[in-house]
Amino acid sequence: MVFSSFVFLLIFLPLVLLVYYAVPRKAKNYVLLVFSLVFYAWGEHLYVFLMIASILIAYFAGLFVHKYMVTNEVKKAKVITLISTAFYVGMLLFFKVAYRFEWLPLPIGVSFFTFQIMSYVIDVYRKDTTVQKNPFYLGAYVSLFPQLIAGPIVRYQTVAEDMEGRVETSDKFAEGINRFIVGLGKKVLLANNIGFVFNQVQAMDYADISVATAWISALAYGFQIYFDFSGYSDMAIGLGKMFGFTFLENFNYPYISKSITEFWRRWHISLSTWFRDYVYIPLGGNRCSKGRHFFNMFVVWALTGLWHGFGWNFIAWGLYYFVLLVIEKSFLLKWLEKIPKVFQHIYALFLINFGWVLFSIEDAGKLIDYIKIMFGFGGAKIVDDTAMYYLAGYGLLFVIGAIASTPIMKKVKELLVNKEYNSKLKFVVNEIIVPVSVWVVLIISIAYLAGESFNPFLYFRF
Amino acid sequence: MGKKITIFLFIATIFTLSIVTFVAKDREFSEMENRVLSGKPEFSAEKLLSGEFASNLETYLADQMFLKDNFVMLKNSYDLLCGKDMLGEVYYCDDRYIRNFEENEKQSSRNILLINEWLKKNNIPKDKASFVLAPTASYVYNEQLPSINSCDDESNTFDLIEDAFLGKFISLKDVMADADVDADIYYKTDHHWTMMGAYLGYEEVMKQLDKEPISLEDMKEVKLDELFYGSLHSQAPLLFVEGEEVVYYDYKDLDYTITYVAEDEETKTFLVEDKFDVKDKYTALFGGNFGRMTIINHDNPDGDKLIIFKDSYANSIIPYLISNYSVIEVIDLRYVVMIPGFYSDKTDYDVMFIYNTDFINTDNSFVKLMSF
Repeated sequence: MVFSSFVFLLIFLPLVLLVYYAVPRKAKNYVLLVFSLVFYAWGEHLYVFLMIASILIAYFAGLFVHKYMVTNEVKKAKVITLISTAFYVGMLLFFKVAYRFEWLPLPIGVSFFTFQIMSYVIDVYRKDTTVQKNPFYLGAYVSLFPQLIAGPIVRYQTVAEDMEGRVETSDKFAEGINRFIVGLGKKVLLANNIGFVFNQVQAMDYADISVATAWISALAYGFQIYFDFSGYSDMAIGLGKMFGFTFLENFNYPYISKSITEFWRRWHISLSTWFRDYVYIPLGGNRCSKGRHFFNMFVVWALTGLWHGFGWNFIAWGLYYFVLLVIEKSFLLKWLEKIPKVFQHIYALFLINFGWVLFSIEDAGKLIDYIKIMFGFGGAKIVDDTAMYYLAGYGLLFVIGAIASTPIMKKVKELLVNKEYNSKLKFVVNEIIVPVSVWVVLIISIAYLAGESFNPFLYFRF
Repeated sequence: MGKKITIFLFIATIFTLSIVTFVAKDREFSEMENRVLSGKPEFSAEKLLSGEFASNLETYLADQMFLKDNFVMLKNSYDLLCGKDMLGEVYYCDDRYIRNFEENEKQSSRNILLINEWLKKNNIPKDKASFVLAPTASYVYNEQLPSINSCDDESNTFDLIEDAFLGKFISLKDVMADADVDADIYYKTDHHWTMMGAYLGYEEVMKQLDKEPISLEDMKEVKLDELFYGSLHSQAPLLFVEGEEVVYYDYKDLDYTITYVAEDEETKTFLVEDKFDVKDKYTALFGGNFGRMTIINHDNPDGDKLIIFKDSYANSIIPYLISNYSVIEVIDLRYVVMIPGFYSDKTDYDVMFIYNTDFINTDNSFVKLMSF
């Protein structure tokens, strides 16, 4: 089930809210488990058993690892941790390969929930988290529908306390609503709309694409993937809040980065920190020889690419960032700091967008042709009517997208609210302007859903 | 934080939509979308497992959702506000919908070739055949279109037909384009021209054929009570777009009969009152499109006879032509079944093709001509 569907908005969400808030505290996790499994089974009915099996394996692995750690039989605990990790990595790899070669459909969210489960067992082994002795609670955590299909990758340690005794408050609930609607708007109003440009240009005969159109389309994809994915994270975080959970942030305005290093601190944070904590640091991180350090980075970025899909373009995309980060770490960062900020932004945005071109075009021949067009090789026109048409029709959307990619609106709101001497303004902003404009976004998003029937999330494929 | 307002608005919105959608009686047909809507999905374990139930439920909700049409209007209006002036295949500019025009030279060349072949096959002399080509709104209101648009120039089609057609070519391009911009010659919400617009075309046709047109003053206005929301509005419904008035021109007293041949029905008027209060009010002209109609004008028994091959644009111009002829055979190639030897006993008839530019570029039923 996807959030931007009528089944979710008009049936699932009202029902789960009603039942969740009607039952006593003790039953709440069970309610979440049942609803989450239905949520998953709705689109993936057979794979729900895969999920249940994954949960049970993690449950017993966690129990035994914990038991052996308590009795100081570290070796046994280590073996179990390794086996369970190998199992989940194998499972993930199997499905990625099977999907790549079209043997099987990809279980939705498999990249996310395998990573969550893996980190649970490893954390129990590392004593970074408590063990969960109730299999239903662990199940509720793994299958928790807000973050089930497209992240963020919520580690058990983040919500361990929430699982046992969280407090739902009206503050959190209202915040959650706002966050959910902002995410829905990002997905439905921005991502889908801007993505239309990319899809149309990709469907064109490459011989008819001008340089300007190629760049407009690449930019469109950059906006689309950001609003799609961060919109999903916003919805997940918002829904989590509505049920009393606090998830960590997954995006922090990545497009305002001044370097690639900074970009990866702001983009898909839950994935990069996961690789940092479970791959990069265990390999030795940067506290080792330079060669080893670069090797560690290589492993992390090859895996990051692979995580997105078992395709050469994803690996190329991961290694592209490996090369850029090595260059930055070696000398470029120091140089960059000396040039005006605006050039730092241009530098970063240019490379990020170019990265999305690698990421988005799966066919190697097409990719090379497309890059040639972007840089004016092969006699493509610089500007043509198509480019002007997209600029005229989507220019405003690009501007809105650019503004929404920065903290400008947030800053404006803070500025209006923080002036203590103007409490009237503060009241109007907080009590009327913000709630009503958020509601308008909800209504327009619903209107959009009414106007479209088909609405898959991009990040499903990964 | 205006948390109370936030929570209230959200909960009220999703619960209201949800409850009303389920409690309200299902609509069977959407006039706006011109299609049957899906009903409550049947539940069975089998359908649940195959995923059919899930997708049926989503379709059901999307179809039956409370205030669906209003939401769709809101979406289109929002798109317009965001700078998109093309909504699907339709532009909305200056209070008027204009359908995108796409030239298809292959199709139009093929169509005119088929027409010529037919003329040759039946040895129809050049002076007995005419081709009346009407522009669509995208040509007439070209200046109102957004400066960057993907409309092709309809002039190319006029040139192509003029060059190729073996008989007399009557272009309505200039009379329509030169008409007063404020005159309602095309509908604002529909892809057709009005009867007022068709009258300008009719006058031009009469001029070219050296015939005397009937004056509009000799006809009576029939104003429909209900406002018209045409096909383009249905394609891209917008908030704040008002329906438009429809005016038809009817004879004060002319004695003629229309025979719908395949349907075996006969009427005394081209205006079908039953259609005055349906959604598609354009179908009030002759009741829509029919394969073959025979119109006999009893007040002009010695007049010329005419065969018309036509599209729906012609439905607005044929009413005027009735007065100038004694018999008119009207053929709509889309809906007609073959009539072998149709022309052989009508060699004394004139032949007229009445089409709009969009039709000649898209339609592929002209091949049926070969069976006439």
